[in-house]
Order: sequence, then C-alpha cells, then structure tokens
Amino acid sequence: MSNTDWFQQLTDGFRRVGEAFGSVEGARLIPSFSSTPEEEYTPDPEKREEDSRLDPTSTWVREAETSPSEAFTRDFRDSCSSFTPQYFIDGSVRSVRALDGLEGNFVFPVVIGQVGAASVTRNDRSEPIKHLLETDIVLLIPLSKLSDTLRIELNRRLAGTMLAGRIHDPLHRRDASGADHYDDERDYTELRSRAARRAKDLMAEVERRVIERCVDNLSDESQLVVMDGSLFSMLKETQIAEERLHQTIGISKSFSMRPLLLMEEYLNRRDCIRRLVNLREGERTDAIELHIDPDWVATWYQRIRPRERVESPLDGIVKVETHFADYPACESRNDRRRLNQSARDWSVAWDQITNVVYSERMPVPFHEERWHALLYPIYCCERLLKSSFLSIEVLRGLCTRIIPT
Amino acid sequence: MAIGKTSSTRIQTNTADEFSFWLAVGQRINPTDIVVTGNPDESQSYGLVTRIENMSDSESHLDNFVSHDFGDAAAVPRTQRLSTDVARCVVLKNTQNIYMPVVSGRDVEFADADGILTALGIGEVQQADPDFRPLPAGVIELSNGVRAPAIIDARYLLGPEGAHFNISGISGLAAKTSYAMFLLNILLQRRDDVAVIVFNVKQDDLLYLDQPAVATTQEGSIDLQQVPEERRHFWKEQQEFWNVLTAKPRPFRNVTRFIPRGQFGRRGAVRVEYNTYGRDLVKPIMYSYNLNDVRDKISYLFTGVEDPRGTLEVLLSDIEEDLEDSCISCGSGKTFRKDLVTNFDDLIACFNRILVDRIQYRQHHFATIGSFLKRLRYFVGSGTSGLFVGTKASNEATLAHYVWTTRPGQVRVIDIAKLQDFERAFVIGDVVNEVYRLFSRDVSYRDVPDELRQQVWRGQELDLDNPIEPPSKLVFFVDELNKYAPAGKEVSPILRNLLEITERGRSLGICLLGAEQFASDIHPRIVGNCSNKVYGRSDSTELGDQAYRHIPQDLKSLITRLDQGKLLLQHPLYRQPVQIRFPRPVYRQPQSRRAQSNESTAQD
Repeated sequence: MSNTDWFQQLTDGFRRVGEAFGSVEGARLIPSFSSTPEEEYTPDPEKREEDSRLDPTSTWVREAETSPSEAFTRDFRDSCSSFTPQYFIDGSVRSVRALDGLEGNFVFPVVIGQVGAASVTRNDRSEPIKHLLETDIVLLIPLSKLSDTLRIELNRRLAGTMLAGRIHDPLHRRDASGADHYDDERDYTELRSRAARRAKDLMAEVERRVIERCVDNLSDESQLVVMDGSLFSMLKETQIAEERLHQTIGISKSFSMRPLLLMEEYLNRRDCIRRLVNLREGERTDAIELHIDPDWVATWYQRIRPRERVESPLDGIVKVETHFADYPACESRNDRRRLNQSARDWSVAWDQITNVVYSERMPVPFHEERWHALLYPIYCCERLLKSSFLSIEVLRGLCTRIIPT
Repeated sequence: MAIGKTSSTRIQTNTADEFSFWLAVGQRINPTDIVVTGNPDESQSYGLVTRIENMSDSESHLDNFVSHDFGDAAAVPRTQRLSTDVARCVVLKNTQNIYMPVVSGRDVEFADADGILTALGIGEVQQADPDFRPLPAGVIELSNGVRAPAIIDARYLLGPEGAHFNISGISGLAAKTSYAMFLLNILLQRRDDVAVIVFNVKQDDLLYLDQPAVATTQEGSIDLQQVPEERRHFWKEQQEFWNVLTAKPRPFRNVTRFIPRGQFGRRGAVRVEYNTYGRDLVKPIMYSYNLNDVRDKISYLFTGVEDPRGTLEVLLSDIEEDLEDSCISCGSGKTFRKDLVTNFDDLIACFNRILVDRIQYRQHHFATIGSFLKRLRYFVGSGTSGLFVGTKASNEATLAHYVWTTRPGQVRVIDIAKLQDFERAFVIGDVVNEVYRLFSRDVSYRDVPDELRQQVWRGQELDLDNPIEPPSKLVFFVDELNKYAPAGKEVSPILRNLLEITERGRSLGICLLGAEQFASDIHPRIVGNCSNKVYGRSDSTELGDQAYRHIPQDLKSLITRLDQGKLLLQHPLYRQPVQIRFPRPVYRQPQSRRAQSNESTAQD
C-alpha cells in the first residue's frame, strides 16, 4: 500500500468515527485538539512506572554476585567482553487529545495514539542502520462507558476500515489469567491519564513483538539485544515468555532507589545509595537479584560518564537489567542458593556486559536533555520512530475531518 | 535510477527556486551536476547542484567533542554518527513552466542528455523559435558520465539578441585562449557568414591555426592509429568530445597571417625582417605603419600616457585634424607657416621647430608640445620595434585594407606578440577602429588599393563610391583585454572604440571575444555588455569583486577550484551558469610537431 493510499484510508476511518457520533442522538464530538503530547503530562514516566511496580509486598532482593565485593562497587574495565550487542530496541508513543466526546452528560477525551517500536543494528562500517520498524495508530475512547447504541454504531461504521480493531478502551485491562476487566472511571482527568497509559501498554506490545523478532535473529549466545527501559515492563505488561529475554538486556536512564534501599536492608549496611552516588566512571555497583514476584531480573547500576562532567550526582548512571535463563535465581525469599557453586562466574558475566554498555557511551547526543544516560544506538531508534510518526499538524488535520461539517 | 530523494525541512524549505535532496548511500555527485525530479502534477523540475553538505545529528561541535570521551582524540566510538550528504539545487527549469516548490520525498535522478538541454531551456526554445541558432559552446559532463553539448543560441553571441563573449580566469590553468579558439572553430564550422580576426599576443601560439595537431581520417575523425599509444586514450576522449559536439576535430581553414615589420626594419634601414616568434609560416603578410596610415590615429599611440588635464588629448586632436591635409599650420600673422608633413621625420622636425622658435601652435602650451614631441620621438623612433616606418616597402601591407576586405569564412591572424606594449595597443586600436568604420559603412571600395580590390572582388561589378559591404558577422578575439579596456581609467581612444563596439556592435554584427585574467580589471561597461561569460579558475579575492556579484556564492567557491579544461559558462538563456569542458586545440601547438592530415587545409 502506498503512503497516499494508507493516509486516505486513515482519513476515511476517522471520518466514519465522526459519522457514528453524529448519527446517535445526544452524542457529539467537540473540537479540543491539544498539540501537547499526552506523555508530557507525566514527568519521568519510567521512574514512576518502576516505583508503582515495586510493590513492597512482592518485591525483594538478593545478591547476584559470584564474588561479592566489600565495597559494593567494583571496577569493570579490565574485563574482556565476549558479548556483542547486535540489536538495539526502543519503543515510542505519541498521543494527543484529539477531541472531546459527549454522550448525555458524560464528557470524555478522545485520544489519538501513535505507538511503535524499532530496532537498529550496525553495518560493516559501524553505521547505524534500520533493522525493524513497526508502528500503529490507535484511537482511545472509553467504549465501556458509552451507550450500547453508540458503541454498536462505532463498530458498524468502522467495520472494514483501517480503524477497525484499532479503537481501544483505556479502562480495559487483562489480568494474568487472560480475563478482561473494565474499571469504573468517569473522571475526565483520570480518563485522559488512563488513555496515555493504555497507549503506553499498546506500545509495549509492539516492543515485545520487535524484541521477539530480534531474539529470533540472534545467531549465537554471545549476541545481545539491548532494549531501552526495564525488562519488567516486558515481563509484567506484555507477559513475554521468559526465555525470550535470555539474551536481552534492559538499560534504564532513570530509576527508583528502592532496590538499593532493600539491598541496604538485606545486607545490613547503610552505604549502598551513597556508593551509587559516588560511583566513578568505569565502576558499577554489585549486582542485585531483584524480584517482583513472580518475576526477577539481575540488575546493577553503572556510571558511563565522568562524575565531574555531569550536573547532578545521579546523572551519567544507567541501570542495567538481565534475565539469563541459566542464572540460578532464588525461587523464594527463603531460598538459600550459593552463586559460587554455580557453573558460571556471574560476576565476570556482569562485568563483561557492563563493559559492553560502557563501550556504547559514544557518540553522545549532547543536545538531548538526558544525553548523559543515553546510548547512541537507542537514540537512533528513537529518531527512527519519531520520524515515522505523523506530525502534530497532520493529526490536527485528521481531527478536523472527524467532525462532520 | 534514483540517486536520492527531495527533502524539505522546517529550517531549510524547498522553494520555487531551490530544493534539497539527500543522497542515497554510495552515490556520488558534484556541484553543477544537473538532476531531475518529478512533481505531483506530472511535471518535472530540473535542478543544478550548487552545494553539497554532509549533515549529522550532531547539533554542535561540542557534541562531537563530548562524543570522544570529552576530547580524547584516540577514542573510537562503536557506532558512527548518523550522517548523510544533502545537495542543494537551484531550479533550472520546470517542464510545464509551473514554478511551485518541489515537494519532499520525490525521487531524484541524474538528467539524461536530452534532459540537460531541457534543463538549460534550450529544448523549449529549439521547438518554439524557428530563428533559434544552436551553437555548441562546450560539453556538459555529469558525475555519472552523461555528456551533452552546452548549446547556446548564436543570436546572443553574434546579435541581434545579444553579443560578445568574455573569458576570465588565471593564466595557465584556465585555458582561456584554447577555449576561445575552440569556440571560433565551432562557429566557423557551423556558420559560413562569419569572419574572424585574431590577435596573437603570446609567442607563436596562434600562428599555426590551420595546421593540424593530430592526424585525421578521411571522414574527419581523429586517426587514432597514427597517434602514439601513450596519447591514444587522450585523443580518444577528445574525439568523444567532438562527437558530442557534432563537429569535426579539424584546424581552421582560410587563415591569413599578418606579421609586423621586424627590428631591422627601422626607418631608413635596408634590411627588412619579420618581427615574430613564428617559424615556417605559410605566406605571411608583413604589415607596418607610415605617417599616412596613422594620421587620424596618432592619439592611439598615446593611450598609456598620463594626461590628467586633457591637454595632450586636445593637442593630438588638433594634430590629427591638420594631418588630414598632410600639413601642420602654426604661428599667426608674420610667423604663420604651413609645413608639409609626409613622414614621421617631417612631423618631428616640424614640432621641433615650433618648440625652438617658440611658434604658437593653436594656443597649445609649449610644455604640452614638448611632452608630445618627446614621446613621439620614442614611439616612432628609438622605441619602435620597426612597426613605424618612414616609407613602406612594396611588400608591406596596410592592415586597414585587409580589415576592410575581410570576407566571410576568413580568419585573419594578426601577430603582435613581439611588439612593444604601446605598439600592440596601437595595432589593436587601429583594427578595432577600422572594423567599426567598415561596419558603419564609412569605407568605400575606392579606399581599397586596386590590386587588393581586384583580388577580393574579382569579376564583380562595383560602384567604387559605394561603401564596402562587410561580412554579415565579424568576431575579433582580443587576449589580455584588460590592457586595452581597463577599468577605472579615463576613456582612451581605443577604449572608446571598444565601448562603441560592445554597445552598438550587437546591431552591426560585430562580436568582441575578449579574454583576461581578471574580469574586475575590465571596464564595467565592456563586461556588462557581454551577453556570454565564461569563468575559469579564479581566486576568491577576485571573485569578491562587483563583476561577479551575479554568480551564486556556492558557484563562486566552485570557480576557485576548477580544474584545467573546466569552465563555468553563463549564457542569457541559462538560468544559472553551468560547468563545461571542451576539447583541447586541434591546431598545431608551438611545441608540437606538424601532423599529417588527410584533409586539406586551404590557405588564402
């Protein structure tokens, strides 16, 4: 399908949404386009997500080092890495409040979301090249709170169009057993926030598919897939099969301190956070086995920029997560397994991965706000995705076609 | 095959006049390549590449500094930065004359040979205008190897739409003379109504225009079998150029050489020789000047003399007026006298007497007369190389007569290489003046000596009092034009004539083909009246001059690095100057041996 055909079909789909509202008595759409992406209403979403994920009742930690250090920090730069980062993955979402919907006295936001994920690899000349790019455009409308008439009319009119199956309810969630639930929420602000979150979930789904395809393309054990963000987002939100994360590492630019607090508690020491803040370039913290039941990752923090070159003490530090299938993670809080009895020296493995991450610190997208924690290939994914999204101006143009004249 | 796609951004937009495109990986282009892209309305837009930039996602040099571990030159990033080459083009032509901005995301390809002509605006004129007179003025060569003739409309070279051609560029690399000769060769091959006058100013460079540099076959192509192996590739490419130009690599025909009287030809000398660097010249004609030849052109001798108050100019004007009757009248009342003046000695003696006897000459100050006399003695006496004589020998010609009798298809080569600077200026001034007089119908058949008249118009019924019918077009080539038409100086008699020709020659059919190192040294009215301009390599200081203000900055940068044999051609039909190449001279160069040719080279 050519770009022109695709866009024509999209326009047609949007027009039919407007027609559906227009055809139901008491329902209508009100122009209220906001050119500010909905994501901007939620500052530092990664950290907030992690905070919300780290539920105290189900979160616990263990040491993840074969040979724990005295200082909780260690230099990793002498290690020779046997790992090669093969694919870098990032997901992105851009959603805007397109319109306000009105049915009876229920006012709700209609959000257009563009979601996608991309993977980047490198050619023989070390130049970043596109590997995979998957994007989608969705409409977020609280369908469960609309009248049956309007919901049926929407489904009827969109049948056979490009938007069929692309209208999502921000109040919908599916539990681990696969059962669907619809929250009872009518507050406009909360609906808006839910829509943004739902768009993020949809993005995670796309990201999962991209990860799976990248993992399928790996040719040997030394190759790694590097994704932007936490592996927990895949494990919790997309229910990705654990074995697919065997060679995937997650890099987080911002993070919660809670695992370190738990570690201080577990190790009965009070300097883990201080050690993190004082990490020097080329140092990492001891690895932590972080459990959010029933899932786990082995994680550590490492400094990739010199401390004296960044503004705040935590700038230049990234959090790395791994989920090796052969790692002997504790199965419960009472599990007393010994890592030094494992067939593999995991401290060495973490050092090697740390080295790989450190070697990706150049080039630097210095003009980006979070340059100090950004890996360039991930940044390339971000650019690739953002350049493939429709601009705010185009979305605004689409919205004008939703409302029948 | 697409070499990239058009690109318009918030910061650098595509406009009706300019567009950008990014270059696909592995593609190579150069400034002045001509590309084509499609538009939504099915029209095509042709663009001339003016600038190629490499863009990266680095926002500042600081980004790059930081990207190497905060200034570690030895640091090697595992990933290369995202970067691409982006070309900026000026729109040359839209096939439907719809000058809407080129939209983003369209395929860009190299233009093909026909496309190049369309881009230049030639294709359209060729179809629409029956009076169009195509003339290939060089070869346009794109980076992908496509070649096309740089067609110009001869009506903008020889009139009536425009006229004149100016070539500038530093000496050596720019090959100004070679290009001028190439253009004249093409012109004479294409047009049979054109006559050419060429001044040879350097060594014997242009004295062998009718002798081939390379052997040719019966069909007129370069005979590669007779070319030494090591030169075969070179001449093969030269033949390819001529093929693109649809012309033959042959030397000039119908060439007459005029050689000045030599150093032993001083006044009164018995022995006379040619004053030339040339060797083995075929039937050269010796020329010289006696007082009769210069009586209305004495002022040309004084072109380089400072005359801030204009007193010398008035004196010269009076002397020229007197010499029309071959007499100098001076004094008044009892002292009035009228001296017969038939040669330079008489003239010098006459004014010497005026000075010694303090006789009034038309109220001129004696100091002015003294200055005139001192210089005249030098110009026609001690300073002359033998050009100025008391009495001409029977075999010494008067250039003016040959200028008047120039016929279409003839090439007159006037050798001035060995002359003094003031003599060169005089000869050029004389020829320009006589050309202008001829085309102004100021010369009648009676003015031409009988023998020459018989030779030129043999068997034709002539009314001797009628003005001579000149060739319909005459081109004269003046190298080092800056010496005769300098900028910022007072208007000398020679400059006045050159200005007349450049300003009115278009309607008369006279074309000035001038060459110089620096266009900034040329009188702005001369450069301004040249419809066609060619630029060879020039330095940036020169290009900062007003004479180049119409050239886009990016193309100026290109001019500073033009290779030998590459020039930038500007023609009124072209929206932008284009880079051209041209074949090397096919006439014998002074350092080369005379080659055998199967084609006869006719002599006068």
